[in-house]
Amino acid sequence: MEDTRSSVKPAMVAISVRVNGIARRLEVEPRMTLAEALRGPLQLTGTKIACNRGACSACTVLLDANAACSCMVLAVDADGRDVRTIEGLAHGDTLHPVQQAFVDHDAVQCGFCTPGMVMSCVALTERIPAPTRDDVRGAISGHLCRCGTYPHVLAAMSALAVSRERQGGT
Amino acid sequence: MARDDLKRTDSFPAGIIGVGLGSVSREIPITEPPPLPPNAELKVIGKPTPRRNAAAKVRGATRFTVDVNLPGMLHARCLRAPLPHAMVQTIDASAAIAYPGVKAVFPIARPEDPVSATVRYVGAPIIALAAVSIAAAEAALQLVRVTYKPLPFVVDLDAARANPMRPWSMSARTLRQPVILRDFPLRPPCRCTATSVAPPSSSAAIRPRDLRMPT
Repeated sequence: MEDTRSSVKPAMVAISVRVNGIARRLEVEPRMTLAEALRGPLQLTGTKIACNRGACSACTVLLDANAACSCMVLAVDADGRDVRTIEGLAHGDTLHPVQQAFVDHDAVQCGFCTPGMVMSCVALTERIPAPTRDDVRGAISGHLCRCGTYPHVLAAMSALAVSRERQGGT
Repeated sequence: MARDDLKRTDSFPAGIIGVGLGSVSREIPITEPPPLPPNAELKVIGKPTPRRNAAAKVRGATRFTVDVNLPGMLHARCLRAPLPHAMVQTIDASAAIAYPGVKAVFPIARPEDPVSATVRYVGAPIIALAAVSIAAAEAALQLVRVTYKPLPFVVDLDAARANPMRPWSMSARTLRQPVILRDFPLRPPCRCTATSVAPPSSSAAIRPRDLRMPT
């Protein structure tokens, strides 16, 4: 009984995912999550796995422009979809405005929750270009940061919103 | 020692910034380093200093230990006790040992040894294994079958007051053999042989040298 269980494996499934603008084809086990696929075969280790159960948001990526916990998405369900990860935000040496705001306001301590936190803030600014503090609080409320960098994240995003409002006003 | 007795006199700013700053003269040991120059001339102290690795961190480029993947690296997972106080009666790890990708199994609680078989808290390690991937290690852990004999436990003050005997001594009495605390070592139970975890039928699936733990 147990021997059968351990020797029979489900067939690998071929999927095609657009990751950071590049179409990637890979074969995955049906049980593999998107987070595991990104970190393993695709070698994009910027996406972090901490709780692996959708409670800490460290694995947040943009799935068709929406923030999603990649540990809660099976890789096979990401087939044919568009995924953006932390590695796809910067253009060469130029950081994404959210990344730059995080650096400018030191919204980083150990940095483990940072990629997920940045991805949620990017999703927010794509929806609301100049978010309010409450918008930001809502966007990062699912992120567990054990260093406690939340005030600096709020400061970074507030400064970004202020600069964008100023640009919009002129 | 003699140098400590030598003094020099120096003047220092005193007071509260914004309220009024004056200057005082104090006698200090001659070995005292010279005072810092005014803030305007300082290069580091009091100056905003960007975190050196902040850019790498916001790019997800920083490598944490979980991001390190070395050739031949194994991933360990540990099965933990769901009860606060219990005796581990049987452990069947045969299916876990046979699971593809499992390279080593380390029994931590051994049913034949009452000291290591006593669970003393929820989350006490029972058995650990190492496999070629996290997924394989976790899947194999699911196949380990452990039977526990639950023992009494006390988790609140009232129960502790009502029960003059600590669960610890109760377990010793239940066992009818002494549980000597100073003989609870972490290392010896980690020593591992194929026969102590695997029935003979499945021990062929794993070589004894795969099971030896580095000391």
